Amino acid sequence: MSKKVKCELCPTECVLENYQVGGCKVRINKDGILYSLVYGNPCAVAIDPIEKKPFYHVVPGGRAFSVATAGCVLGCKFCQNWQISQARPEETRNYYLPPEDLVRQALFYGCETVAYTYTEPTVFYEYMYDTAVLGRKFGLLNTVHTCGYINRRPLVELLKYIDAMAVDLKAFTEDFYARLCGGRLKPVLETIEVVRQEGVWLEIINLIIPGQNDSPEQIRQMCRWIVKTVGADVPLHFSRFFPYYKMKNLPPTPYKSLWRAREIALEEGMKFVYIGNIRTEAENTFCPTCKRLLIERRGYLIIQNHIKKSRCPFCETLIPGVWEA
Amino acid sequence: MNNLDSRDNRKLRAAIVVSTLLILAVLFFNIFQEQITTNLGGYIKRRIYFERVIKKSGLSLHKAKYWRRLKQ
Repeated sequence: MSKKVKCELCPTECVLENYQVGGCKVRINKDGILYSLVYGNPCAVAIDPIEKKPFYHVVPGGRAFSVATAGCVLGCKFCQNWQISQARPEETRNYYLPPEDLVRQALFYGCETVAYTYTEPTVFYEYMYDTAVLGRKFGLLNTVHTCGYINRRPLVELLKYIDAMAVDLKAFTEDFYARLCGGRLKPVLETIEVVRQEGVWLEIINLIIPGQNDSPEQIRQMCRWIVKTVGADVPLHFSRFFPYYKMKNLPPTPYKSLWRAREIALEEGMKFVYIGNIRTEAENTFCPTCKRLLIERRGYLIIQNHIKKSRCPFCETLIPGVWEA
Repeated sequence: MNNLDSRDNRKLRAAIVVSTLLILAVLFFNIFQEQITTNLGGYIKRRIYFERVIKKSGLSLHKAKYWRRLKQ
């Protein structure tokens, strides 16, 4: 009897020999059984403002009990968290925090949400899933920041317990994903569609890297796809790139590129377009109908929030999001 | 004299058997060298890494979801 196994969690679908660890660095085949090495062993635990994830339409000003383990399903050369995402779990300093303790701590510290974030939550799927099931029982919202590189079956099962998902759409070409991430674009687009179909709150993040994914045509094409496939009211965050990991040779994203991208998205009909990783008025939420200021942000701080019962108080327009825990 | 002959014969036969086995082993190794060194060598390396590094790092093994065993 062969001891080879095939992991079917992410689209990479690693075939693993006995004692071989997957490309994600956290799943091992031991004697013909696949195990997760990071269940209950996060390497990063913190309480963050939910805006840091970034979720701008989910309980503004809320506290997110944030966790991550080592590992990632992709190997992006521009990774902003590479110290933990590209590390093996035996190389990081890990905590012992089983789901029950995690939920207990989140409640103790008055968090409204649990955020599975920093690295790629797909790699700690079992840990995230069990925590999400338990968290929901205790009234916590479950939020995920993901690269969207996950197979449909595990995604649909997970989404039953997830309230909001922020998906990184790193670029809109297969070439970019192959060259800089070691993955494919198609499964990410499928994830975005499935999240929307399953009725889970969705926000999209696009990290703009100078000379790599900042062409106006590509951004326009991406925005058109978003509007057509998941709708114009999905918040889109253009995030500023800083030179880290294997792309230290590039400059940070120029201010102008971010504004140009935002203008294109608005031209294409997107209603909520934000600029992240930089302090500007494009961090604020405006009513798409009357254009009045609804939420004023300064960094991760909420200065004012006028949204009442999910509506603009000035013109009664429904503002989509998960506004209350 | 007869005794000496039969002893030599036995030795000769043993030598033939041993050298035949040796030649077959060398041939077998030459033919399957790549598979033996990659499969076995790889397995030993991975196993040593697991026993010496992963096991000692205090990480627990939790049965994963979404995988299947391959027949071949």
